[in-house]
This record gives sequence, structure tokens and C-alpha cells, in this order.
Amino acid sequence: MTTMTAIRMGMREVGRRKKILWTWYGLNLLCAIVIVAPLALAVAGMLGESLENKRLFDNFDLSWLTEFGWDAHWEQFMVWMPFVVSIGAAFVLMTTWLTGGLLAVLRDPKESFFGGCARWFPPFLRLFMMALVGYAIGVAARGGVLAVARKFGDDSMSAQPMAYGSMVGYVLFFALLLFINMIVDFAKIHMVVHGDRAARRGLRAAFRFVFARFRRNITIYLVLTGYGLLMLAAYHIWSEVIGQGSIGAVLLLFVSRQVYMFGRTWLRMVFLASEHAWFVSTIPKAPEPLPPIQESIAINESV
Amino acid sequence: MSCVAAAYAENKADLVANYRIAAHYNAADKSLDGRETLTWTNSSTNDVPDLEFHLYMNAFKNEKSTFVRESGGQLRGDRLEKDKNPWGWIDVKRMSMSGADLTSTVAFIHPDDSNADDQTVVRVPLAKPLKPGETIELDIEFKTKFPKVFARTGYAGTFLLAGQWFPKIGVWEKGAWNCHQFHATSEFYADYGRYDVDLTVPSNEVIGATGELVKQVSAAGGGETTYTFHQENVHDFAWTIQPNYVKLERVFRAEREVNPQELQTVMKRHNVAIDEARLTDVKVTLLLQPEHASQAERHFKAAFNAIKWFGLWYGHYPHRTLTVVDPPANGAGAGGMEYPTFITAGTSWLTAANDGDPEGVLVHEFGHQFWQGQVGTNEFEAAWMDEGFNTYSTGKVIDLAYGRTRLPIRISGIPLGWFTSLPGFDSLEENRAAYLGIGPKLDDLSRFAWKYRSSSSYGENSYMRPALMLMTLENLLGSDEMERVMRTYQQRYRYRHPDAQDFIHTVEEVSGKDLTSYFQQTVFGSNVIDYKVDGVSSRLVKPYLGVFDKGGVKITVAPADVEKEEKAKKKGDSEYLNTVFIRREGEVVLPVEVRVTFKNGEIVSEKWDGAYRWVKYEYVRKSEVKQVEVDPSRKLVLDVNFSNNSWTSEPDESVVVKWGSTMLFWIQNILHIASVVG
Repeated sequence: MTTMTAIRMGMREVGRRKKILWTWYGLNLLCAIVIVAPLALAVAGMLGESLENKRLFDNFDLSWLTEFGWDAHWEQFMVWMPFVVSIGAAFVLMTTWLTGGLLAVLRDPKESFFGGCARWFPPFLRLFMMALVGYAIGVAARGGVLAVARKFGDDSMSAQPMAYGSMVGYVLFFALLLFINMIVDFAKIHMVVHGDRAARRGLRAAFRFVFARFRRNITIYLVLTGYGLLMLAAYHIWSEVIGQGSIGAVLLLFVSRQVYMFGRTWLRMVFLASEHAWFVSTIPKAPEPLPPIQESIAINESV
Repeated sequence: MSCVAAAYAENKADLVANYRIAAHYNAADKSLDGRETLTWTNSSTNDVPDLEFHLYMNAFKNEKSTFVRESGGQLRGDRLEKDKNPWGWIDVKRMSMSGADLTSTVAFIHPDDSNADDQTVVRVPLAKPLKPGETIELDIEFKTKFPKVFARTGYAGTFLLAGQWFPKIGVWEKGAWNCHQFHATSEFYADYGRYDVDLTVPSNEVIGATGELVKQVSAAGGGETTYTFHQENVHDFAWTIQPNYVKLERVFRAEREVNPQELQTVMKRHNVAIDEARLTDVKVTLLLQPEHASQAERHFKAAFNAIKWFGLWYGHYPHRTLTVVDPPANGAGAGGMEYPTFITAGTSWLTAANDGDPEGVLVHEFGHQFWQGQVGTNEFEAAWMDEGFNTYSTGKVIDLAYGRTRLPIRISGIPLGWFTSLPGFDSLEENRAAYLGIGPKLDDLSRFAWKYRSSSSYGENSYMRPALMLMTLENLLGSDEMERVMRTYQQRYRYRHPDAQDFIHTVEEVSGKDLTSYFQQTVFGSNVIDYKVDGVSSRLVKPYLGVFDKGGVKITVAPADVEKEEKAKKKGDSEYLNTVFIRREGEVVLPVEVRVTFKNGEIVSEKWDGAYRWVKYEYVRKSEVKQVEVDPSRKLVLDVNFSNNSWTSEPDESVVVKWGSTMLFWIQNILHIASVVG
């Protein structure tokens, strides 16, 4: 199977599962609303019936932010932050749950989506914990690169060694992140396709799979990442064009942003579906059933 | 004679402390051997029994100095790298006066704290007191070891910034020495004088220093060169060397940079002759890091803007040279400093247009040529009078010459402004943001620099709050009047040591207003300004019910009569009782304007003295109130809450939609990224 075939198949599969796509997107929107609502209400409460509403709409005023902080006393934000983290964690768990359902129906369209969610959530959660170790390694690697850059750059009269060191650190960090995500994706796919709920075994198998077909795996990942970057660029250009100079433009941008977020969610599902299609295509087909063995018949006959 | 013209008449420096210094720099160990001849005059009316000197460099001697203790080894974005032998010090090897050796009598003192280990001030008793008007000549031999750059001075790689590097006499005033120890949050204070300095450094070095280069002699063999610099009417001397500085020179030609109309405006506004309004040519020297060479134009443009506008507003820059030093990345702690005719700026390797680098810091440090360089306020005791005045003036130049600055956000040194439009701000927003961000009510402006609750409180009360105080004053007096105040103060106290009262008296004299209460509250107090619209209501005025005497007859008005009357009224005939409450939430009491706008377009302006906690205004009109604004012209920019300054009957919450949807989008993205983990 070619890369583009896998991606096309992935897109088709996602296209057939619009309910899952809308659920995934809806949960993202809902969690974001829950996080933003208290802050938006606080802003609305402070501005209330003030003419500042109009002035701030026309011109963002940096000092209003600190005025808001001073008025609301910064400590209140400290109360808000654990709430934000909790909702964020809940959303991550929800997507872990959804991924199990999605992969289950990709494997067998007759399988129950919610049954898949429930069945695969515990092993995927274990996988998530293991992935966190990988991310920690990514953070440490970036820290290591920065430490080396600092060793050579701290006493440098030029700012460039530190800046380049920081850039290399980011590239390394994001490359590791991308790699870990790819491994974890294939671990999930392996587990679901083979009906194996052992996370550690799935991870080992994913490593073997990724390295055995490294170029193809990375190509699928990078092509889809490229799609994501193209979407981001298109959104960015569009958002700069329409701006937020009027309430009409604000609403148009809001719709555009939601289209973009819907697109991101779609792309995430396409990632999983394409990888799934590619993974399944690499499994050797079961051999045709053999014809009956003549000798045994003969033996029976002789008996 | 106008106030400004009168001030000009007095505009001469008393050359109290004159230095003749010969110094030899030892590149190998970053040290210097120096010999200083100080000619000092007792310009007071008192006898002087002893002498006191600053030995600033001892602030970097060890962890026991007051400077290191107070800073905790971190200051101005830089840190003391204790594992890299960063220490610096100064030793007075010999001190004599008229042949008499005073060395053995030199003793460390610590006038500001009980830190017996601090060695930044010494006292030298004199055999007999100096009489008023008497002049002495001291011969001082000293050795200075430069620290690794941590704050303001020292070396970083091949870069050297020599500031506070020689024994410097304190200021004798009010019958005592004003000679403070070197603190983390204080800078300098000294008398004016003449400096003649010979600096011997390796010949491969590019050099820059305070004043004009008058002589350059290379030693036989060419290994070392002695540069002689001269400058009068200054109170300090700093210099720098680095072999690979990109040195660029350009002359600020006053006639080309300032058009006749701008000169006319100054002459008219200040009632001065053209000679007093006219600026003079200045040779600007840039000493840039090689990686910043492409930013030379921006540096020159900023320097020229500063020379022009400060000169037009406050009187011409009186010196013939200005040297702008750009420290290297590992010497950033030496950036953003001011010395007479010599400033250190600082920029980033990569910058976006309008992100404030290097213009902001360069204009600010140049501004110190006026506020502290020429008007020699005491940076130890009244930091707000140089930093605050300068923040106010810098903001005016930046706003005028560059408009709104963008937030300078960088990732790995790459400016985000290259890719997206970032929010902008002007000087008012910047100062208010910092003032409210740090938190008002911590300290007042008039504290000694090292006595603030924290370094951030020092920053707020030395930079932003005094700038806002001056902006508020400008709004109360008017821009032209404020410019006259500032110019008069600048001219009157050029080469002098004014204090807060001198400034206040100047303001009152020029404006003709009693502003005692204003300064008492905003300079000597820590209270805040906060006026708010506390309630607005409009209700229909209905006829009163009951029994009324009319022409000897008792008339009863019943609800039915009222209803009938209301129905008979045409649209627009109804009257409303409009009630407006204005409240003073803050403790600062200042007169304030209140503007009430009715739905029929009528506008009523009120003046409230703010004395009591609240005031009520009632209006019977055939229209309801549409909006109420307290301080509608935003004169009181020290007000800590602009949001509660207004009320409208037609609230427009579109900004909540705008910001809310933006926040929502960002949170959605963050959640999405986080979910990829799951």
C-alpha cells in the first residue's frame, strides 16, 4: 500500500464516521467553554455597563489586563488554574477513551463504538502513562541541549550560540514528541487489531513495527503533519485578512476558527485511520484453506 | 524676563570636583593602575572636617558587601557567577594632600547600614578643617580589579565597561557628607567638575569614553596607546574597550534635523530667543557588537530623535559628543546605563520593526543626560526624580517618533513579530500596565532607593508611578504649561542638585497654582486614585398624590387622575428624575470632572472636588441619562480602575465576545495538543 493510498483510505474511513468526529470536536469545544466561561464572566462583570467595552473593542489596551488583575486580585487566578488543569486532564482522558472506540470500529465496523471505548480505555491509559515517560525524556533532552548551549554560549559575546542551541533543543523536543506519538499510535493500533490488551507488549510491537518500516511510517506521519501545517497557514492568512475590527468580523473569525478546529480534529482522526489502514495492509493475509488430505482418506477407506 | 529666560541666566556649572587621572589597563588580569589628582573646592558656607569617598568597585569584592547582600547575586537580568571568580575591587594605595601622607588615616565607614564588611565608602580626617571657598588638591594612587560583568560595570570576554572605577569624592551639602554606600537599587550622586583622563590600553582595542578625545599617543613598539579625554560640566567618567567593536560616527546636524517651524514653536511657547531655542551639533559615536551592525541605522535614528526632542523641549544638549555603547550578549548587565556623554544601550541579535529594541533603552539612557546628567538629582535618595522624569520624557519621545511599540516576544531569539501582528502599546499603557501589574500601595515615591519593600517596588515607584504622576500633572496643567514647567526646572537646575521641593516650587511658580495637596498625595503618599460611577437611575416624574391647597380650594389628586394625565401626555413630554452617584473609592482626593449625557443629546458637565466620599447629582429632564463619565478626558492617569469610570444605558459587550472567542480558540488548541498524548 502506498502512503497516499493509506491516507486516502484513512480519509474515507473518517468520512464514514461523522458522529465520532462531531463528538470529538464537540467535547473539545465544550471543555474549552467550561474553562473560558468563568474568565469571560469575570471580564463581563468588570466591564459591565462601562464605556470601556467600546474602547477596548477598538483598541486593545495592555494596561487593562493589569487593571483587571489588580481589580480581581491576582490570587483569584490561582483558584482558576487548578480548575483549568482538571478540565484539561479530563479532556485528555476523554480522547483516550474515544480513541479506543474509533480504532475498534475501524478494525470491525460491526463492533460497538462505546463498547470499544470501554474495552480499550484501561490499556490505553497505561500506554498514556508510559508515553508520559517518553515526553519527560523529550523535555530532559531539550534541557540537555540547552545546558550544552549554555556551557558554550553563556560566556559567548554573541547571542547566536544560545539562540541556535535553543532552536536545536526545540527541534529535538518536537521530533521526539512526534516520534513518541507515532509509536503510541501504532501501539494502540497493534493492540486493537490483535485484540491484545497488554500495553507493554503493544509498545514493544509498535517499536518493532515502526523501525521495520521506518521510511513509510515517517512518510505517512510527515505528510499528514504537512497537511496540518497547511491548514494552520491557511487559517493564519485568513485570520489576518479578516481581522476583528467589527462584531461581524469577530463572528466570522469565530466561525473560521471553529472550522479550523473541526479540521484539526478531523486530521487527528485521519492520522489514526491512515495508520490503521497502513498497519492492517502489512499483516500477511491468512493462507487459503488446504484441500483435504488424500492419504488420510485412503487410510480411512482401508480401515 | 520669562521663567525660562531667567533660568538660563543662572545656567553655569560650579566645577567643584575636578579630576586629572592617568590609568594603565592590564589586559591580562583585567585590572588597572591609576593615579588621580583631585582638586576639590569647599563651595559651602561650612567648615569641612574630613573627606568621604566612594569606592564603588568594592561592591563587587565579596558576598559580604551590601550590594551583593541586597541583590542576592541577581540584578538587571544578570547574575553573579560565583564559580567563575567574578569579583572586583578597588584599593587606595596612597593618598596625600600637599605632600602630607593621609593613607594611614583612610577608614571604611558604613553610613547606611550596620554592615561593617561593606567597603564602598571611606572617610579621611583632615588635619585642619577646610574653610568655605578653600580648594585642596589630593593625590591618590589606586588599583582597580574589574569584576566579570554582573551589574553595570566590568568585563565580559574581550569587552570592558569601566564605570565607577576610581575613588570618587562624595557631595558635601547641608553641612554634612552625602556619600552613601553602594546599594543594589541605587545609582550615583556627585558634584560637577572637569575630567582630564589618560587611558593607556593595548593598541588593538577600540576605545570610547566620556568627553572628547584630545590626544592619542602610541608607545614605542606600538603595543600600547594612551588616549587623553577631556570633558567639563560632568559628574562622572566612564569608558569602554573591545577590539572588534564596529565603530561608526555620524554628526547630528542641528540645522538639518530641526526645521524652522519647530524652532518657532519653541521660541513662542517658552518666550525665548532663537539662540536659546536652537540646538547644537553633536558627534554621535556608535560602538556596536559585530552581530548588531545591521541595526546601526536604528541606533543613529534613535539617538538623533532623542537629541532633537529632549533639546527642543528642555534646552539643547550642551556637550559636543555622545558615545553609544552596545554591550555583548554575555555583558548585558552593563547595558542600559547612563554616564555623562556616554551611554550603554542594548539590543537583541534579531529584532522586528517597532518592537522597541534598541530604541527604547537608547532614548531612555540618553534622557539621563538631562535628568541626572545635567539636573543632578540624588539617585540614592530620590530615584524618582531622575528615573521617573526620564521615563516620562522617554515615553513622549518614543510615542512621538515611533508610535505604538509592539510586544517584543521572541522564541529562541526569533521575534514573533516577524510572523504575526502582536498587540501594541504606548507609553501611558506601558506605564499603567507595569504600575498596576506590580501593585500599587506598596511605597511612596520619596523613599531612599534601598529602602523600598522590594526591587519591583523600587522599580514601580522610581520609574512608572512618577511618570504617571507627571502625566497626570501635565493633564491638569495642559501640555504647553507642563513643557514650560519642565524646561524652566531643567534650565534652572542644570548643573545643580535640586530636591523634590525645588521641583514643586518650580511647578507652582510657573503654573501659578497651589499644588501642595497634589504632590503631598502623589509623591509623599502611597494611596491610590479611583473614582467611579456608583449608580445611575432614571424614573418618570409623576404628579404627587394627595390633597393640595390651590387658591383656597382643596384638590385631591388620585391615582386615576395621574393615569389620565399620563395618557394625555404626548410622547416626549414625560419628565424623568435622573440620579447619578459618583464615588471616590481611592484615598487620593483630587478635583474631577463628571460628564452626563442624556438620550436627547444634552450634555451636562460637573466639577466635583472629590472631598467627600460621594456626590449625588439630580436632573429633571425630558430625557433619560444615556451615559455618565467621571474624568472623561482621562486626566487622572494614576486612576487604578478606568473600567468603573463610566456607565452607559446601552452597554456593548462585543469586546467580551471578541476576547472570549479568542480565548476559547487558544484553549481549544491547547486541549487539542494535549489530547494527542492521549
